[in-house]
Amino acid sequence: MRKLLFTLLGVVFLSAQLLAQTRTVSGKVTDANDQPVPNASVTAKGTRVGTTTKGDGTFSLDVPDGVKSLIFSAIGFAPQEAAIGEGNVINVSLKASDKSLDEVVIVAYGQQTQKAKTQSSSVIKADAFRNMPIVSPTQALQGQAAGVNMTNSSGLLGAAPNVQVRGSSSLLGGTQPLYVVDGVPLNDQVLSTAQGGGSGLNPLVDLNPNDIESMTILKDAAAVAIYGSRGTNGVILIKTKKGTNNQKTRVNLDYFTGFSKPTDLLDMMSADEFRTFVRDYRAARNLSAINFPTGEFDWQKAVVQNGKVSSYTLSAAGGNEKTKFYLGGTYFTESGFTIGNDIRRLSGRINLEHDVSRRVKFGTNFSISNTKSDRIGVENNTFAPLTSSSLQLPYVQPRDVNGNFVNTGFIQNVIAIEALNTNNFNSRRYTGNAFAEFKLIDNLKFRTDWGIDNVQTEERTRTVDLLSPGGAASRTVQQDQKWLSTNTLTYEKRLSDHFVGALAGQSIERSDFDAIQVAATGFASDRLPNVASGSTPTTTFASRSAWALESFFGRVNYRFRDKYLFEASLRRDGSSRFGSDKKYGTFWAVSGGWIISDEEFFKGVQFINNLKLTASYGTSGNDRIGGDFPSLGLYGGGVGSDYNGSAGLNPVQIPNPLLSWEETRQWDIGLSASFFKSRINLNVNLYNKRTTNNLIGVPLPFTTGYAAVNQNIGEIENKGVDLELNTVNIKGKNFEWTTSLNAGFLKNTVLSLPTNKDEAGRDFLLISTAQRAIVGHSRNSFYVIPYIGVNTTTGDAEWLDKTGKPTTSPLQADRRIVGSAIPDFTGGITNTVRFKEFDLTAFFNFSYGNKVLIDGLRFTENMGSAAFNKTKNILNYWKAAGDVAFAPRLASSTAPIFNQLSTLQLQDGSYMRLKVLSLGYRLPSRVIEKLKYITSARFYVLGQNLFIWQDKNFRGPDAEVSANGGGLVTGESFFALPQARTITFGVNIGL
Amino acid sequence: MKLYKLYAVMLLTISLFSCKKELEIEPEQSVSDNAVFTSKAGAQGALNGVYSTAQLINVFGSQPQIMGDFQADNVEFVGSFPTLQEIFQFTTISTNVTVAGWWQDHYRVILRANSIIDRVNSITETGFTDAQKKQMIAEAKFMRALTYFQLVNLFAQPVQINGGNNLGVPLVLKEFTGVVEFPGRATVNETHLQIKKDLEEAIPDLPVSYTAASDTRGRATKGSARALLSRLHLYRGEWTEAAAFADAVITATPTYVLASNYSFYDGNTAEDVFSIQMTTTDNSRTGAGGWASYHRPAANGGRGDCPFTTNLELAFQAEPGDKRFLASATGVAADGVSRRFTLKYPDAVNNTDNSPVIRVTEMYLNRAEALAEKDGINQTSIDLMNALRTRAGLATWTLATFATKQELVDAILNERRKELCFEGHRRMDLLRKGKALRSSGPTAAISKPGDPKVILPIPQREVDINPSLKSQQNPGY
Repeated sequence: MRKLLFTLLGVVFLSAQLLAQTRTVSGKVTDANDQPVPNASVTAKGTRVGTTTKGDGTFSLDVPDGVKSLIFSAIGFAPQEAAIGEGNVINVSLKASDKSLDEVVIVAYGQQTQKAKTQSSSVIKADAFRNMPIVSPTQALQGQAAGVNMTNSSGLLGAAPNVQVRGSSSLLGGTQPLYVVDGVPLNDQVLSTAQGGGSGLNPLVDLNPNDIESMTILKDAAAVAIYGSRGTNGVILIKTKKGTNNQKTRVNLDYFTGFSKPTDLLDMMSADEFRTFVRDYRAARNLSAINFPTGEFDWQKAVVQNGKVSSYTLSAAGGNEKTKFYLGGTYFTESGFTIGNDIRRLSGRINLEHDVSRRVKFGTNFSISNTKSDRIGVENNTFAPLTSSSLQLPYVQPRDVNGNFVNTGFIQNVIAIEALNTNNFNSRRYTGNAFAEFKLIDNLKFRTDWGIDNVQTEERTRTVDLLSPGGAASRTVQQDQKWLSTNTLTYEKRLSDHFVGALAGQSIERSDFDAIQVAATGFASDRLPNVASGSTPTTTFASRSAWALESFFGRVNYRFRDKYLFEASLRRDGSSRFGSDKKYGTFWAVSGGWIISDEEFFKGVQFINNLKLTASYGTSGNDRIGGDFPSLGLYGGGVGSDYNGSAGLNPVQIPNPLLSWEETRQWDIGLSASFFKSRINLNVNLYNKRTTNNLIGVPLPFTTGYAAVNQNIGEIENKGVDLELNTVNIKGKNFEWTTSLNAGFLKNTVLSLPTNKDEAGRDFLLISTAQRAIVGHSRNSFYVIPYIGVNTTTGDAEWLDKTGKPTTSPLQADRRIVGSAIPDFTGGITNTVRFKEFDLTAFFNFSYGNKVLIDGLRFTENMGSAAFNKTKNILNYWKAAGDVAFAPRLASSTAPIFNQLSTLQLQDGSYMRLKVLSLGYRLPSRVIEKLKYITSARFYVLGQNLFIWQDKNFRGPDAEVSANGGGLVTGESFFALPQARTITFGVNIGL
Repeated sequence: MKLYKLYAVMLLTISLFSCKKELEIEPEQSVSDNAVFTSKAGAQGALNGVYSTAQLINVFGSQPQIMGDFQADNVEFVGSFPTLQEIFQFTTISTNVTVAGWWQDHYRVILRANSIIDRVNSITETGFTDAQKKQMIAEAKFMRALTYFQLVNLFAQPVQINGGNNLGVPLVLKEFTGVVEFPGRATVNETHLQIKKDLEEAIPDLPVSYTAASDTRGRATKGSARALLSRLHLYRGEWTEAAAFADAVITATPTYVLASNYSFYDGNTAEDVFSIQMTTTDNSRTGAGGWASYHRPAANGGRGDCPFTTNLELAFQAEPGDKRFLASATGVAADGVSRRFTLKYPDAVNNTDNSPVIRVTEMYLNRAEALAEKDGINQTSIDLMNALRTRAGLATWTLATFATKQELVDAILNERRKELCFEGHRRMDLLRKGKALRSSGPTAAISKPGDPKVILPIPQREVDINPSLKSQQNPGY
C-alpha cells in the first residue's frame, strides 16, 4: 500500500509540471436566486485544467490557448457550458438539477451523488427524528431504513438498543454496527454495569440527537468493505450539522416538554385474590395452610408515576467567505415512568471550517457531553422497581405503623430503595477531530485527520443500613480512550466522457481501557455517602486493556459518460485482537451501475425519469470476537483465583493463535427508479450475506474443565430484500401529502456449525436456555416444549410430546423448534400532510413473524409458590368439566409445572405501532413579518407509542423487547420495562 | 517550493505510524498459560486456584450444601429461584441451569487439580524440592477426591441401591490438553474406589498441620484426608474402616479437639478438620452472597430462603433445652412469613463465614454409628455420643437407654441431624440409611432412595454434546 502512495505521488509531480499559463479567466457562479454557488467545478473544455469556486462563488482560472469554452458543474445543479468570448470575465447562473438524484450522500471517507452511487446505503435525515423525545440517536434508527432492525431492549431510560443491519451475522461475536461520527469511529464498549438486564446502558447515550444532520447506514459490501474488519455488521456514518459559507447566521431555539406513562403493565392479583388463591391451592393439594398477614398494598401503582421530559436546544450556524461554523448545545432531562429513573444530559458542539488559502483548509468537529443517570435495577434484579412491584407479595407494606420504611425481605422494598439509596451513573464524553486539507494540485487533495473519542464513566452506589445492615457502597470508574489518525489522498478528474476518482489512505487507531472499582461495607452512619467511610473493603479491583488497528485502504471510481459506473475498494487491517498467526486481513469489493434511463433507447419512456441498476460483491470482517485478547491462552489472578490471602492462578481461556475475524461475502443487486418527475422513488435491493469463519464457542463437555473454546468455524447466511418507496401523493400550493415506506425482508439461516447433533441429527449451538442456532434454521430458533392448553375434561395442563401426542408430564426430549426470534420483515411507514401552515406526521413501525419469550411469566404464572405475587389470569383455573380455563385444576399433577418453560410463555411478537404522531402549526409569513426578531416559528404536539396493534391475547406487557441489547439473544424479556407512551408539546423558533 | 513542504509533511505523517509494534499488546490481568507450570510460584498459584474454585458457591460455597438440607427434611426452601424450587419440589428438569453450574464447577476443580497432579513433577526450578512437589500433588488429590465425592452424591443413587453398580460420574483423571474426550459415567463403586485411592495416596505426603491456623483448617492435611475416608466408608456401610479412620482423627490431639461449646463456627479452631476459608474480599460469590444470604432473613442482609422446617423444629423440641436449637432466631423469610433461621452463618453482609466441610464432631458421629452398626449397643458409641450430648446440654445416655441396636442407630442419626443441620449432610444421611427424604407431605412418596428425583439430572447440555452420556441420563429425566 505504501508503494501505491508513492506511485500516486509521482503522478502528481509529473502533472504539476505540465501546467502552462496563458490567459486568466475569472467570474462568479450563482444559482437561480443569485446566491453564490461555492465548490462548483470549472473546467477548460478538452483539457485537464480546472478549478473550483470559492465560498463567494468566484473563481479564477488560467486557461491554455485554444480553449473555446468552460464547463461548469456543481452538486445539485445541471452542468452548463459557457463559451469564452473576448472578455476575461464569465458569470454563470446554474440551474438546479433534479434534486433527489443529485443529492449528495455520505460514503466512507467522502461523498457522492445519489445518481452516481453504486453502493447500497440508506440515509436518515434529521427531519425524520427532529423533535422526537428520544434519549439517544440509535433510537431514531427504528423503522426508518430498510434492512435496519432496531429494537428497544426495554423502556428504561438509556436502555441498550439492539441494532442489526441486514440481519445478525455473528453467533458469539458482536452484532452491532460501527458508528462513525464525522470520521471518528466511536468506542461502544458498555461501561455501565448490568443491573439485572443482560446489558448495561446504551454506550452511545452521550450522543445528542440534535447535533445530527444525517445518519447514513452503509449496507452492502461496496459500502462497507473499506471499513474492513469492522464492516460486516454495517456502518452508520453520522454527519453532524455544519454551517454554510456566506450565510447570515441562523439561530434556532428548540424546546419541548411533556409527560410519559407505560404503554401497558401486567395485571397482578390483589392481596385478597392472592390469599384466597394460595389458600385454595394448598387446600386442594393437602399442603399445610400458610397464615398470611392481613392488609393490602398496591406496589405497582406505587412505583409507576407520570414521567416528565424536557429538552432545550440553542444553536447557531452560518459563515462568511472563508469560515463556516455550527455551534449548538442541548440540555435534555427526563424522568421515567417508574420511580427512581432519571437522566440528564448537557452537551455542546462546535464545528468549524476555515479556508486558509485557496489550497489549504483547516477544520474541527468537537463535542462534549455530560450525562447523569439515576439508575434503577431492571429485569432480573430484586432492586428493580417494576420487577419487584410485580412480584412483591400484595399484603407486604413498605412502611411500618409509624411511617418508617421497612425491609421487606428478598423481594426488596423498592420504594425505600429509590427513596434512600444512591444508584448513579455519570458519563462524560468528548469526541472530536481536527483536520487539515491541502489541495496539492487542482485535482489532488491530501487530508490529515486526527480524532479522539474519550469516554469516562463513573458509577456510585450506596445502600442504607435498613436495606443492607451496616450499609454498603461502591464506586466504579471506567474509561475508554481512543485516538486515531487518518491520512488520505483523493484524486478526481474528468476527461470528456471519462471520470476517474481515487482515494488512498492510511489510518491507525488505538484505544485504551481502564477500570477501577472499590466497594465497602460497615458504615457508622447512612449520612456518610463515600465508599471510603466503610470499615470493611470488600472489593478492590482494577483492570486495563487496549487494542490497536492499523489500516491501509483505497477506492477507485470510474464513470463512462456518467452512465456506466464502476467502483472498487480495498482495505488491509492489522489488529492486535487477532491471533498471532492471522494478524492481517484484506477486504475488498467491486461494484457497478448502469443508468438505463440515460440511454438513447430510453428517452421515449416519459414516466420514468431515472432508472438505475447496480450490483456489488465483496468482503468485510467482524473484529468483535470477544474482548481484546481472544486468541491467547490465559491464566488469571485476582479474587477468582486467590485463596485464603494467597495469590492464585486459574485458567480462563484456551489458546487459539489462529483466532481471527469473521468474514462476510455479500452480493447485492439494486434497482432504483424514479417515476413522474421523481414524484415516486423506489429502491429495491436484493442481497445475500454469507458469513464464514464465524466465531463460535465450540461447546466442550464440562468434563474438560472448560465450557467452550472459541474458534473460527461455522457459517451463517442472511438474505433478503430491502425496499424503500417514497411518494409525493399530492403536491399543491396549500396542500402536500408525502409517504415514505421502508421494509426489510430477512431470512436468516445457519449453514454450518461444529459437530453437535440434536435428536433430529442437526448441529446446533445453545444461544440461551430457550434459543438455539440450528443448522438449516435461524440463529435464534426457539427450542422449547409445545404447550397445548388445559384439557377441558380433565383440567390438566397438556403439552405435546415428541410423538405429537398430548402429555401431562413433558420431558426435555419433547422440545422442538417452535419459531424464531428474528422477524420476517420489519420497517416503517411515514405519512406527512401539510395544509397551509399545518403539518401532520404519522410514523408507524412494524415487525412481523417473530416470536418473543416473556420469561417473567414463569414467575407470575407460577401456581405453586407463595413467595411472590401472580397475575390475575391464573385465577381462571379449571373448576369443572367443560371449563375453558387458562390454568389447570388446582389439584392437578400439572399445576406445579404449569409455568415451566414452554410455548406458554412464547408469543407472537408481530406488531405495528403508531410510533410518532405529530401535529404542527407554523406561524404564517404575514405574522412573522411583523415580528421583529423571529424569522420562523412552529408549535407542535407530538405523541409517541400511542397505539399498538398486536395479538389480542398477548401477555406482556410489551412485544418490543430484546433481552440483552447486544443482539446475541433476541426476543426475550424478563420483566423488561414496556415502552413509554409520551406526549410532548414543543416549539421550533428561528431567530 | 511550498508543495514540496507539504509532501514532506505528508510523508512524515504516514511513516510515523507504519509500525507493527502498535499491534503487539499484552494483557495485564492475565499471564499466558505456559508461564504457570514453569516455577514453584506458578504451581503454587495454580494450586491456590484449585482451592479458590472449590470455594465457589456452586461447589463448597453453600449451594450444594443448602440443597443437602432443603431436599431433605431440615429446610423449607421459600426462596424465589425456580431452579432451586424445582429441586425442593422434586420437579427438577435436566435443563436446570443451577444443576449445570454445579456440575461444571465441580469438574473445574477436578481438572485444575489434574493439572497440578500431571505437571508439577516436570518443573525443574532450583530449590523446588521433591517434598514440596509431593505435597502439592497430595493436596490436589485431596481436593479431587473431596469434589468427586460430593459430585457422586449429587448425581448418583447411593451405594445401597443396586450394590453401587449404578452409574456414578465420569472419571476424568488427566488434565485437558486440547484433545476433547467424551467420557461416560463410571459406576458408583468405581467412583468411590478412585476417591479412596486418591486419599490413600495423599495421606503420606500431606502435612499434619501448617504454620497458620487458617491453613491447617483450610488446606488439605493428613487429618482431613482420613476424615474424608471415614465418611466415604460410612456412606458405603464399611463400618470397620469408617470407625478406624474416624478414630485416627479423634485421637490426633491437639490438632483436633471436640469444642466445648458452639462458638467454634468460622473460628478455625481444633473443632475444624477442613473448612473452606472465606474473607471479606474473597468468598464464595464475592460481593454476591453465600451461606448467610440463604440462612439470614432480609433484615440481617440475607434473602431468608432457608428457614427450619416444622419437622426439624419438632426434632429439637422433643428434648427441650438443646443449646444447638438456641443458636437460632426467627425473622421474616423470603415469603414474607415469620420463620426460624439458624445462626451458624451470621455474616450476610460480607459473606465471610467459612464453609464447615468436615469437623471433628462428625468423626464422633461416624465412629459411634459405625460401631453401633458393627457391634450393636456398645459403650464406645454411648461415650462418643455423650460427649456431644453433654455439650448440647442434654441428658447422657447409658447402655440401658436402648433396647435394640436399631434404636441406638436411629438415636445416633437423630443426634447427627441436630448436630450437622444446615451443613449439608442430611440428604445423604437419609438416603444411605434407606430412608425417604420427606416423612410427610405430597413428596414423601417420591423421596425414597432409588426414586428418580432424589438425585440430580446429568445436565442436558452434557448429554447433548457428549455421545457417551446420551444413554446414561438418570432415569426420570
